[in-house]
Amino acid sequence: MSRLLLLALVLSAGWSTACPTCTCANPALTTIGADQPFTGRLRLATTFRAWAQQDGRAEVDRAALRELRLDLTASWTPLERLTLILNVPLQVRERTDVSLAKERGFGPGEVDLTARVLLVGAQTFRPRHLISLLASARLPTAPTLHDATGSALSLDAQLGPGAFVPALGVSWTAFIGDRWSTFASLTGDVPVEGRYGLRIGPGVQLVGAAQFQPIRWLGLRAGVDARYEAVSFLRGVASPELAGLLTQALADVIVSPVSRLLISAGVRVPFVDTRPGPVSSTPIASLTILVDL
Amino acid sequence: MSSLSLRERGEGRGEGQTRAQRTLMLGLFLTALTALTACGEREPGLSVSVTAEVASPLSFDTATLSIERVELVRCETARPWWRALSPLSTAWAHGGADVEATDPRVVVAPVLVALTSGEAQPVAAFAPPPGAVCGVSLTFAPSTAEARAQGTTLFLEGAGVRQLSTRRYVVTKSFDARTLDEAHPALTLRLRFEAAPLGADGDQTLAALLATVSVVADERT
Repeated sequence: MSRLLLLALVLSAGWSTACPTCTCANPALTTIGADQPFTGRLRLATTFRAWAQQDGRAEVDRAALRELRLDLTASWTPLERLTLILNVPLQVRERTDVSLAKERGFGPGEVDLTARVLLVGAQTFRPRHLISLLASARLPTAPTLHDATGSALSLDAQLGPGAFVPALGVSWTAFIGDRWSTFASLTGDVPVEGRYGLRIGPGVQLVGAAQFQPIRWLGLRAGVDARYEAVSFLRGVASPELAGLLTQALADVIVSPVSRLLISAGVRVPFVDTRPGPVSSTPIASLTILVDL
Repeated sequence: MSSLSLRERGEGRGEGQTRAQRTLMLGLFLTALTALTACGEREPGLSVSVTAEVASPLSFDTATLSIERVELVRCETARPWWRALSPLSTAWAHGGADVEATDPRVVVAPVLVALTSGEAQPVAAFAPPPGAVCGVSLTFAPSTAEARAQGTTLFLEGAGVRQLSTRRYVVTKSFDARTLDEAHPALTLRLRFEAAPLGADGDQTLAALLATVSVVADERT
């Protein structure tokens, strides 16, 4: 789940005008990762996100997870074709087991570094298409959390799997007139073994969204965010409970009250879930504030 | 139009990057600060402990009683009337070995109760789910966990007496419903074995001893 959120963050952390100081080129409110890069462009975003999940059998081994996280994201374009994205999450997570025993963790999560190489759409004032190659790495920066007695919290209560996760992908943004834009990305990741001997299965994520701007400062976005994940292994033992396809419908409202500032509120609602579990995920609510510097 | 826009864009960049550098530095500082304050904590959940007490300790060299399995018995709850009309039955977890091994209301771990001791002896500890508990089910069975039990359910030796039994008994004792929830997180079940006369053999003595078992449920704070 945390990988899903992190990737979703990269793809939807915020939308802003393609040209923040002039706004006369491309009026589409675009995400970090889907935006039109130009040399020296720097964007900062803060995303608040809340989610919860239950897994296990009722009255036997059910555990409930809930998390509030604050993602700090910076996107910098040193070269027209190259954009670097840094994401640092701060998380508060609580795990409640079947006996109502709780574990809580607070701290920084796992940092994501992404390089976006623009293949199509550079050196054009108002490109209709942006096609980019994405290469990213999630770093095992979340410290292992312990309780007051020095005992390590359980794996689910930790703020990440503590694994190096390289990923590769491609993204495509299309601008259709002044009011419509679309975005799609396909990304695959292959985590290495992390904390407690957990090796999360390789995953593929597809995000597709369309955006309509009835007013220049207002965007309405809808789409699909789907991830398929292969079987994970814990100390060499297969854990198929969370392997499968999770598809979420996404809906966002994006407002740009003033130039350089953008506010986005949205929700992800699961609607196709083939994971054997038993597992159930709640809708994910998010709020993003993005500033173009 | 285009050249004007590009010029404006270029002019705004220098000031923006100065602010950007300050913002980035602040962000990095806050991140580092937060990393230093990463912390975790645990809060205990519901718990039930089962202890055994022997009212009149036996004066043998060895006197052991083996308990193989302890299960908390949840209270029967009345089905809502609309469920009675439903053609669909309630789905319960499969009762296979897998569920038995992970059911938090079941402890399968051989424990020997020393019948020579008058002190409370721990028998089992549970971390159960919320709900009402109305009884405890005890399985007395031969134990191979400790050599002093000699692979028996009951073993008495000393003072010129040697009795043993390898019979298996399941004894269920009920008590007034006790609800486990956040307001009532802890419960102790005290098993009490009263004095029982020695039978002609170990089987009779075991049956007589188990007939005296009672249970007292005490809430702990």
